[in-house]
Amino acid sequence: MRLIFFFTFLTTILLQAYEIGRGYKLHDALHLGGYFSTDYSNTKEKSLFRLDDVALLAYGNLNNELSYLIEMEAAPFYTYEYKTEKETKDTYFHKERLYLDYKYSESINLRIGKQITPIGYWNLEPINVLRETSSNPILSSEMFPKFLSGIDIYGYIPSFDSISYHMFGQKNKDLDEEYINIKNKHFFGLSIENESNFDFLYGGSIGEFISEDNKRSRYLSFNLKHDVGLLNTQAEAVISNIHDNNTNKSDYKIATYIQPIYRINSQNSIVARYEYFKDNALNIKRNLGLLGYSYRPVYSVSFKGEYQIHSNSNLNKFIISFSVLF
Amino acid sequence: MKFLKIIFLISITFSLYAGEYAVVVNKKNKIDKISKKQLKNIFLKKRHFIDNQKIVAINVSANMPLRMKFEKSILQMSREKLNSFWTKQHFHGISPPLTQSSTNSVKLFVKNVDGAMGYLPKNLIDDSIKVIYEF
Repeated sequence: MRLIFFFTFLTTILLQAYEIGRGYKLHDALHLGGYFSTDYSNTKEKSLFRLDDVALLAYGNLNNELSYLIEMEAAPFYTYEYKTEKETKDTYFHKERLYLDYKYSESINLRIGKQITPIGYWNLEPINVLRETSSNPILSSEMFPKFLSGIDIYGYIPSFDSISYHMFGQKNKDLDEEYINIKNKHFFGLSIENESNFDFLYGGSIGEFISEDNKRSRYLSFNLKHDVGLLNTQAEAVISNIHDNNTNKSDYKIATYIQPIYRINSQNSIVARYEYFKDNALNIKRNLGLLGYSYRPVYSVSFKGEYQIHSNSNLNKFIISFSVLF
Repeated sequence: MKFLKIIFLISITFSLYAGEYAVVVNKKNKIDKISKKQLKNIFLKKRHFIDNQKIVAINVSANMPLRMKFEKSILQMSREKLNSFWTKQHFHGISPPLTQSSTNSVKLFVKNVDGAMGYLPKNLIDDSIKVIYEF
């Protein structure tokens, strides 16, 4: 009887504190949430089902200045390949983000720990449920490390009220080396963004990193976002000079995309994307166009479908996905 | 007679545009005025300081007409757009401003907390708090 009373009480408390897409607010110092996504993709070569991301989030304010965020993620949690009937599981939860934020003033704030690298737009909202396509552009995985295990000093530039900056650096291994697209021990960069108008944002980044295979990349990126009425357009471009310290040879890599989204109403959107990618050293050149549809019964629940047409038709792909932020 | 009509029309127009509500801060706060853009940044938690004063934004409950008026006039965002905005912020570890269930509790909060900033109907405003914006 006591147990029933306890669980009823607990459920009531939790339900009162819960809001879909905003997590459980148990205290100002403790919000709990998470997300997951599943997708099914089909190409000429394979058909794949994935329970891709399963992640748990905790964050909160420790006092007026200090806050924290912890995100643990297992991905791909489960995959099933239809033709070979091969099943894989990876249920180990990696440290995706783990940082402390110190808010000192309008112009100087500090973030220490493993965090999303503050470059462009896509990288800052990388999870399925926050995107309008199931897939990511090539730019998001090939041009710079997605995460930074170091320090980011950020804020607004004094006397340039609407320009924000991030100045970041890392001189150590990633906090979870198994869980980063480009392993490195040296990463420094600067990003700026003009926020003078809420509907039209633009900015850029410069930086340098040295990957585990001793290649030094120096990148320059541009990004813009225009969101007026029913049409949202986002574009990013990154060019990178890569110097191989082993062979002493240099080469370059370019990645760019433009993505317009047409909102039919608050639940339904049509999305298109064009991408261009060139890796001169590896002699890889790709053009890709996609058309997709997104349905959100509420913003934090997303159903999406897309068809990709690649310059190499063997890579053409159909993807549907379902994702939730809770 | 024509002159009186003009005066009447002008006074009607002015009364329509005069703000019924005001954004208020604690008396000790050094801020005397604020722009709409700064307000939007503060209530969307894009910014946390004004003139190096840490600000704590306070909302009234989501279903109150005052909140709807504030969202329409100051934030200039629909409820759907705000929902999608705060869902994205949840991923970044940022929660919406604190909410008070009544305008009287907003007033009390602003009166007692140095950096607090809220919005109230003008008829609730007295000398205990400072007006920095009208809408």
